[in-house]
Amino acid sequence: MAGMGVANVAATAADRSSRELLVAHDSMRDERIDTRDRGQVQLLFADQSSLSLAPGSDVVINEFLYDPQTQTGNLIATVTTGLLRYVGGEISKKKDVAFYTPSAVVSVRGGIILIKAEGDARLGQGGGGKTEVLFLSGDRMCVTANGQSQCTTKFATAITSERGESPSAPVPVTAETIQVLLSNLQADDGGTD
Amino acid sequence: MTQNGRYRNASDRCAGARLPAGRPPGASRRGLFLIRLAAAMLWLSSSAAVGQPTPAGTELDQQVIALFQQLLKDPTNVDLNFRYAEAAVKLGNFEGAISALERLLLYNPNFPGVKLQLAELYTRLASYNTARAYLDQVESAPDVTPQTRARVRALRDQIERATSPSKFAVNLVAGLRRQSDDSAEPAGSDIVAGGIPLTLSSVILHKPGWDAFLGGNLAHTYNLGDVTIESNALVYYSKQFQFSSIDSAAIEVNSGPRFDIGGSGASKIVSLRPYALASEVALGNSQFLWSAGAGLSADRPITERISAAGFYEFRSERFANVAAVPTATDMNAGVHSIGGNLSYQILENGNLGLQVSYAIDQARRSFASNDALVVRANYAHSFQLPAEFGAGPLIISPVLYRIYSWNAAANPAAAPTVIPVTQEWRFGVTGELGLTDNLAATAHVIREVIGSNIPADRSNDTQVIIGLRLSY
Repeated sequence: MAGMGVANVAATAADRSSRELLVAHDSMRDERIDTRDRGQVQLLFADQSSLSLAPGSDVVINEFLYDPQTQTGNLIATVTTGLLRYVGGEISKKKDVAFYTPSAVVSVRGGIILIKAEGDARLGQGGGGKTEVLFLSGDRMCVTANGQSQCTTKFATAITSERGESPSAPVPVTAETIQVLLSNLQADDGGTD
Repeated sequence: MTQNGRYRNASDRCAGARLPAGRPPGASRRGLFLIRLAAAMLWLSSSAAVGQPTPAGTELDQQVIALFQQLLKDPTNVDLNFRYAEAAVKLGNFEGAISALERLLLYNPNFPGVKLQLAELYTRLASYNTARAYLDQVESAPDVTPQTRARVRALRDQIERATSPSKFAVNLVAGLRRQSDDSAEPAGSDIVAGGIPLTLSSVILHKPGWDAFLGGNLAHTYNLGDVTIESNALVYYSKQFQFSSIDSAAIEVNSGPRFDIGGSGASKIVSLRPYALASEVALGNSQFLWSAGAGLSADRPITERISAAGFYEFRSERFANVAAVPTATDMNAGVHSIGGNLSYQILENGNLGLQVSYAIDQARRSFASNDALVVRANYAHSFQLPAEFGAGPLIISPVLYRIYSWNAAANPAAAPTVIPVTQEWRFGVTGELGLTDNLAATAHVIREVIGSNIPADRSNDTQVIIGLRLSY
C-alpha cells in the first residue's frame, strides 16, 4: 500500500490552535486525538471520509488503512469520551466502520453518524459509560453491547447504550436535538474569518 | 386468418405473457385483438433514472479525486473546499460535499450560505431532521438576507412534502409510433407503464400505420408506519391515424398494503404486497373488456447487487362483443399468472434483468384457452455525457424476449384440425436521454417475429417510437 506510515499534519486555522485539522494519509495506527484541553478537530482521511471531534473529546484511531487502487481499507477507532461526527467515505461504502466506546461497539455502513460517549471517569459519579449514537444517513448503523445488537436504517434515529446493559431500540430524534449536537461541532461564534 | 396475440404482463415488477387462442368463430376481421392492461413495470421504471448522479470512473470522478488530493495538502483552503463540494455533488457524492462544507464551519460558524447548502444536501440524502437543524441555524443567524429566507422557506416546503405520509408520483409518456404491421399494442409489452404498467396487445393488421399515444401512471403511497398503502392508476390512450377501429383506451387501478417480514432494512426477509385490481378497456370507442382480480407480490434483496421478486395474480376477464370482434365473449376467462425476476447490477452503471412468467388462461371456450411462457432478458446501461452537452444521462436498454404459447384446442372456425402453437422472438432497444430532472426524450425500436403452426398466424412487425417522458 502506498504511503505507509503515520502521517499527521496539523493544520492550524489562523490563530486559533483549537481549530485543528488532521490529515490522515493512507495509513494511521494508534493515534490519539485529545480535545479535552482544546477546541474542535477534524480528521480528513484519504478515503474522503472525515471525523469531527467536539471539544472535550478523546479518540484513538486504532487503525486506518486505505488502498486507493481498490478503494478498500479499514477504519477502527475508540471513543473514550466526547462527541464526534463521522462522515463516511470509500471504505464505509464497502464495509462497516467500527467505533468502540466505553459501553458499546458502533458499526456503520456508508453515511453519517454522531456519537456521544461518556467516559469511564464518570462512572464513579453515576451515569458514566453511556453512549448515544445518532444515525443521520447511510445504509445502516448497528450498536452492540452486552452481547446484543440493535440496528437502524431510519435516518434521525438514535440508539443508546448504558454500560452493562443491552442497547435500546432505535428512537426518533428531533431537529432540535441534532442542532445542539451540530453546534458543538462548529466553531464558537466570532470565528476567525 | 387471424393473428390473435394476447400478451400478459402480470402485476408488480414481473413480466408475463400469454399468447392466445385461435380466432373465435365469427371474428370478422383479420386482426383479432385483445387489449391487455396488466401490471409489470418495465420501460418507465427501468429507465426512470433521469438526473442520476455521475457514475464512477468518469472524467468528473477523476476531477473530484484530483481536488481531494489538493485538499489533503491544503485542507483549510476555502475556495478549494467549495470546488471539491461542487464537484462531489455532481458526482452524487453528497457525503463528500457535506464533509467539505462542515469543515468550513469548523472555522467559521457564521456562514448561513454554507448551512443552507448543507440543509439542501441533507435533504437530498433524505435526512430531513438534519436538514431542519441546519435551517434552524440559518434562520437564527443575524442579518439573514430576504433571498436566503426565501430559500429556507422553499426548502422547508420541500421537506414537508417529502415527509408527508401521503405522496404522489406521476409518470407520463407521450409520443408517436410507426409500425410496419399496425396493431393496437404500443410496442411490445414494455412500452408504457410507470410503476404499474400496461400492455396492450395485439392486433395485427398486416398494414403499416402511425398512431399517437399517451400513457401514464399516477402512483400514491400512504405511510402508516410499518405498512405502506400503495395504489396506482394507469391510463393509456392510442389514436390511430389510419385504422380508427383499433383506437384504444384503458385504465387500471390497483391498491394494496406493502409490509416487510422480518423487520426493516438489512434484517428484512421479504417485502410483501397483496393487492386488488380492476381494469376497463375500450376498443374502437366501444367498451371491450373489464377485469377484476387480486395478486400477491414479494421482493427482497439477495446481495447488495442482486434482488429478486415474484408474484402470483388472478384475473377474471369479461369481454364485450364489438364490431371488430363480434364473438369476443368466447374469451371470457379466469387467468392465473405466476412469475419471478432477478435484477443484477453487474457494473457500476449497468443493470441486468431476467424475468420469467407463466400464465394459464382458462377461457369460456376451450379453443380460446391457452398457456404461455415468457422469458425476458434486458440490460440497461447509463452513460454520463460530457458536461458541455448539457443533457444526460443517456440510458441504453436492449431487450430480448422469447414467448411460447400453447392453445388448449383447435379453433373450429379457423383451423379445425390444428391446435395452435406459437413462438415469438421479440428484440429491440430503448434509448432515453435526460433533458432535465423531470423530462427525458425517448426512442424505442423493437422487432417481433412470430412463428406458428398455423401459417396465417405468422407475422413480423417493426415498431419505432419517439416520445417524451415526464416524471414528477
